[in-house]
Amino acid sequence: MVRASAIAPKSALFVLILSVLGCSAGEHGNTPAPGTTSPMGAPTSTDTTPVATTASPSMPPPPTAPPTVFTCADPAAHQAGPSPMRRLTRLQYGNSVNDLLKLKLDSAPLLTEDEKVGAFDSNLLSPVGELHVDHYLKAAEAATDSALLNVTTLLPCDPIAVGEATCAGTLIDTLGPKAFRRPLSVDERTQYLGVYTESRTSGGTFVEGIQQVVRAFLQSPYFLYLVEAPPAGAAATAVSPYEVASRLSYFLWNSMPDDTLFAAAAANQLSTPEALLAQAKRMLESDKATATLASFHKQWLGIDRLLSAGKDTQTFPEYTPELAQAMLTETTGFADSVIRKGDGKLATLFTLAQSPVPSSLLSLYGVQAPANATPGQLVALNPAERAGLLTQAGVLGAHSHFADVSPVLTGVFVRATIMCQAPPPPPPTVMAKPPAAKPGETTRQRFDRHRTDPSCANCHQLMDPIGYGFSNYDALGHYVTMDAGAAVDAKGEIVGSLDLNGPFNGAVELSQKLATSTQVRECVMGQWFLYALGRNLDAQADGCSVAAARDAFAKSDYNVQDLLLSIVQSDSFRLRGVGGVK
Amino acid sequence: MKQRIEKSVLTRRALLGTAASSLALAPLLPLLARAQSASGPPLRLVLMYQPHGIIRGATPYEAYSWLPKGDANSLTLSDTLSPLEAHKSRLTVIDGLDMTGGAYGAPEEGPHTRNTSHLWSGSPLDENSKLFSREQGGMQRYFGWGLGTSIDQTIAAQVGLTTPFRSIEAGVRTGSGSRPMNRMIYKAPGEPLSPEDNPKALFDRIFAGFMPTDPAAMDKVAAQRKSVLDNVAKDLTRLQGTVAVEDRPKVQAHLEALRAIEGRLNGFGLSCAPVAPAGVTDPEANDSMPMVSKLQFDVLAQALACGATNVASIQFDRNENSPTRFTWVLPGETRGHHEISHLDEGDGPDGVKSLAAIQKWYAAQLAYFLDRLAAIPEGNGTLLDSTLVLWGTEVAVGSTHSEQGVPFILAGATSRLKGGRFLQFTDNTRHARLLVSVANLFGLSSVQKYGTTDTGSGPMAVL
Repeated sequence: MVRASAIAPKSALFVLILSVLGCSAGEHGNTPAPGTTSPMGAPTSTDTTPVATTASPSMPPPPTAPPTVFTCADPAAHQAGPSPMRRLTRLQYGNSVNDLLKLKLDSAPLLTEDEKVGAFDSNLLSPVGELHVDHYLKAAEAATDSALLNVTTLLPCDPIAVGEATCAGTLIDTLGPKAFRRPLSVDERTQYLGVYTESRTSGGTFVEGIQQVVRAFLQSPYFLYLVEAPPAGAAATAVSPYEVASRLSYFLWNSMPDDTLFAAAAANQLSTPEALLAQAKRMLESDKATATLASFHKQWLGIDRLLSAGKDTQTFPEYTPELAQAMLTETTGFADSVIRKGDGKLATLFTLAQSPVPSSLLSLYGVQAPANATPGQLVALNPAERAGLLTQAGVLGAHSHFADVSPVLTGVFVRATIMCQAPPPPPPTVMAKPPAAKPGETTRQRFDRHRTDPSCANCHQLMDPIGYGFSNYDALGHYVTMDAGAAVDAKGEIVGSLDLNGPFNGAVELSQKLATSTQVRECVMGQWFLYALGRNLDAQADGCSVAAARDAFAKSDYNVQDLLLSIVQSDSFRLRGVGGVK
Repeated sequence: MKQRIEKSVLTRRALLGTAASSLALAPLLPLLARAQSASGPPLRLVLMYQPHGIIRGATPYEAYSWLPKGDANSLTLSDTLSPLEAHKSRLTVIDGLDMTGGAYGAPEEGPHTRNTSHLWSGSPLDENSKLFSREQGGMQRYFGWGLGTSIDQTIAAQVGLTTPFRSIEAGVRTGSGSRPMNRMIYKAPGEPLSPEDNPKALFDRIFAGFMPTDPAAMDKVAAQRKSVLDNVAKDLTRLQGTVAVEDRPKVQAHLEALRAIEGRLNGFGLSCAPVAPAGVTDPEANDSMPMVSKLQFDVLAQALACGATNVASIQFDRNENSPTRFTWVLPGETRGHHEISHLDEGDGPDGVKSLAAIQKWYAAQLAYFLDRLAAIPEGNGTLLDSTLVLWGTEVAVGSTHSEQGVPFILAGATSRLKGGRFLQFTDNTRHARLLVSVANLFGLSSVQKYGTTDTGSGPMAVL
């Protein structure tokens, strides 16, 4: 598809400005993805030696080193990094409430924003304030009210047949263990029955007594936090069967264990890696895993920023919030179709020229749906224009500006998010100024002039030349062939990487390079570890888990499902380390 | 809307003129009584944060300068600050404070991020932490939450104990995850407080339930909540005994929050009739910003007037990287505030004019709040006479990220502060001097240093 360039000359100055803003990569310009950097903990090596590059001889080497690759010092030692008690994310809270009470509420808007660790929501360290607790109170009351609209569904018994007090006790026996993801102690059962009794003796009806019990469960710390007993000694120890069931369930489903997993925990059948493997396979087959894949990819790729940032309807008259939603749906649906329904390969995520294109996006891609297409069915795209995630409208749109594209933004996105190697900020003394705008220049010409400024060039060689590879796309992800009256030149180059150095032509070829890169595989593995554990990896204690997952990932020819299955079998996942994270 | 603050404290029950309900209610806690010292109304504090610094108006762009003219006895506002003209006699504009040092040992750490914590706490982010990595900016730069307590919270720990809410945190389009670059209020080191961005939710949180048509029903709700929260407290107390030592502060903070909420379950001496704000469909949407700003200030003014709190803050936008397109003052603008903030006088008129328009809009928001406070009678004056609004921003100038020459505005508190002046510092006076002055103003006379980056001592002499 050929489309006129959307880059208007009037935007020349803006683009120039951003070329400078990108110089410090994070503080300047509209940064692309939220905080995606290596989750591999602080570097253990002191290797800050600049890496030799293929950049022009006049240019100093890029001021960054490839990410540290984790190694396993002692394969016989069973270790895991410290894992603080996490509080449920808004997504996990909402799913848990719905699973517990058989509802379909969207509780997230009622709650306080989650802490972010790297790119991902994880309430790891900072404590709740009064706002959180007020929100929990209101959300619990709202959910309970919804559940009571259909009280017979909620109740496991007939209060008339078995007696009200007995039925209340039965409700506590069924809801309690689900809410706490473990059996209740005798004292706890008595305590929660006391909530019911207090309501009744204060003149409350049976339903009001039940209401109080449900509200109490939803506000309990045993519901809101992933509570785990700390190791008794100085060594990392396996978490209990119920605790590992929760770890598994909140990783793969972002919700509480189902009856099967709970029963396996009750029967103490989760103590081996093999048992976790079997459960995880079962859980990945469930449609509940779809939402988790969507959550991971939205956060990792930073595409949900599209919804809040929007696009300029002057430049893109077709843009609507619904279109942005369709762009997200396409990318998350694509990840699901490759990882859960396709060959699962990381390379496929970066190269497949097919996608479950929603009908509202067909014209953007210049394609037509196959006859009798079903929702979510893969649509063939032009393989000369599109290859996997990075050429999808949602990703391209999220890492562009409101109206314009920016090689800096796309370059930093690939560098930081896909390669886990964000460029460093410039020294504080550097404050470059953009050269005056020259109407009629192509985007590339403008950025090339910026690149020749020595004060910016040193860091920009790490990002702009990668961003040039995306010159065939506008800020909404259309494929374009002309820029300011000239044919698009999408030749780019990677320097300063582990194994990606060298030239390439266009985003399709770049994606093919990335698809088989060790650096990218390490990066994706690290992101999944972070998502699975909800914490950064510890360079020492998690080294062997990472090494084992790396081997399994390689053995499967880089199948993402196999990566996830390897993570859940790792010591980092199964064990609880000693001490806190700072 | 005018509200008169009564001298006497009305309990909700008395206000509603109802007989005791059949439900046994805990007696109103003493802390719910309105703080009213013998010497007059309490002094209140509101922090207002605006991102990305100011334009200083270098030649030939003097007309776009944010800075006023004047001295210790006079003040002539710039066009940018002209919305504040009516309040000129109640303003102290400060320029030239030194806010460097927010990132010890790591000078290249992002200035927006580090100063988000540093601005009000005088303390840096925890650079020994591995919790966060700087957004995009350096994959191996890790840091944690701020290591200080923000000035409002230090003061709230003293003057906030007599009000139902120790403090209230409001936000305007701050939503982008709870991260150090996006949280400026710290109850304690490592304990950031999140703002509420939704005016209706903020209003309901403060006031809902205190204007019931059915007092008996309200008593019942309070009793029900108390029973549930008592149960939560039991669980938290049990949990506290079993978690790892590193997790205990989380449980403790949860317990403290719970007790604070329990303390206001029975309502408080509502001495005015608050008016609920209109609902905003999407408070986080770009174009919602002017409406949300107005409504949040309406709620905050009422919260102060009604005695719900003596300490509040309002954070505009996110500190790290404002994406807000100020289309209501810059029609058709496609760039976010942060993008534009990297332009200055050296880049020609475009950026300077745009930034001046944005900064003027912010001045108008501050003016609106001062208008609201000045319209609420209290004692022999108005609420503004006993409210200090402290305005600040995280860098001096956006284009340079300069942390020297940082401006502040003190507004109101006319019962305690001289206004109508412009105080310029050229001697690297630390911004902690201002924080110490504010603490002293609120009666914390023993505070002589503020935060761990404070290299000096004592209050700002001229204040």
